[in-house]
Amino acid sequence: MAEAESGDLRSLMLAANRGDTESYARLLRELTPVVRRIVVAHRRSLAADAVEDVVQEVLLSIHAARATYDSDRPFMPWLIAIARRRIIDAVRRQIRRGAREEPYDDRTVTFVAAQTNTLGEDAVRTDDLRGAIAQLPRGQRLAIELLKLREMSLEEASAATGSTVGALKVATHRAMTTLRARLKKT
Amino acid sequence: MSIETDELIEMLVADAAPVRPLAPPWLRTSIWFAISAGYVTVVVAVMSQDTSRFANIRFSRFWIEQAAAICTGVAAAAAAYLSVIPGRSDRWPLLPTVPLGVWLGILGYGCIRDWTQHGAAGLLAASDVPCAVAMLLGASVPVAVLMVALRSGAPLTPIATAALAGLAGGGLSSVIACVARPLPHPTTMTVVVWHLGTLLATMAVVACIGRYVFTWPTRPPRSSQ
Repeated sequence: MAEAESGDLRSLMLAANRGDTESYARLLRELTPVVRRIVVAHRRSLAADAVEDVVQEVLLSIHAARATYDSDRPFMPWLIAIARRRIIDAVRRQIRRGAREEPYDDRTVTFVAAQTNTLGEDAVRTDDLRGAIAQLPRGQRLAIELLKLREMSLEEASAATGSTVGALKVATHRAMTTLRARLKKT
Repeated sequence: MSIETDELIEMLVADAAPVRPLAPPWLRTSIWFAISAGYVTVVVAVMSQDTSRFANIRFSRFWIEQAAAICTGVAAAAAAYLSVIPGRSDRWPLLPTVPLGVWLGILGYGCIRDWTQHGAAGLLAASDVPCAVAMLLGASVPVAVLMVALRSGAPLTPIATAALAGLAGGGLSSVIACVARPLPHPTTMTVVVWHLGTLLATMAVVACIGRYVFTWPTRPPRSSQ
């Protein structure tokens, strides 16, 4: 099966080198998944987003090296040699780029002042906050959800709940006081 | 690349023209050798001041040494041509090691002989700048011809291919430096230091250049927009 496939590719390559553009288009289309398989097999050394770039580089190299194909020799070793070389080039390029660049981590310290580095702290407090809101009385919990979490206006929240604006303000104030007290404890 | 693979294929197909396959490496090596040998002959004829001394060189070691240097050059050229053809064995670049080994063996034998005949003085290297100049001059055309010819191949191992081209040119030009000089080298160590030193320097420089000469295309054809 693989031998027949290789023989087909060889015939297409020979026709393409004679100037048959249809055969060349077919050859490149049939080669693309083969090349992709070869490149994906090296995914350990290559970044996942680099695979398609390397596939395109291999196709470009095949185009540039058409004259080096010897009709008396099998096609697949010729193809694999080019693909392997381009993968090595890509891995080297990736290593060089990696040596020059520092990965950006948005959870690391961004400013000197401790107050500005609250990302980690927020992640911890989110669970506590969610728990504290859940323990609020229904009216207060509803007021917080609508006004603070969904960011509704007082009028919208009033229309949604049937409570007056004043009652919502009171419920929100009490809820905030309770939450502040509970979170301070934790 | 910032284009889709299907789009790239269309571009490549649009650029496709009939391609003439490269001649076999042995034929390309023969053509290179014919050109280079012609150049070397002209340089030797121009630089030689006294050719009568060759009639007196009976010791075959001198001629074996020159033959080994030429074979090293030819084998390196063949290996360079093979290195730009995908799918060939990775061992072809080792081809010149055989004649190079013979060449180094003869030089080693010469050093031992000088040592046994003249003691420590036989292992001293005399200054021989003219040899280095002759080698660089002699290597320039063969290396340039080879580098241009190799560009039509696939740049699979640019640095190794260029180093082989440097070895090819250096091997041939070593013959110029030995044959064109008016007097024989005072010691074999002089040949080792100046000839092999110049040869290694040539290989290193050409290898560095090769990195920039043998490159894959980075853009699809007609993608200047």
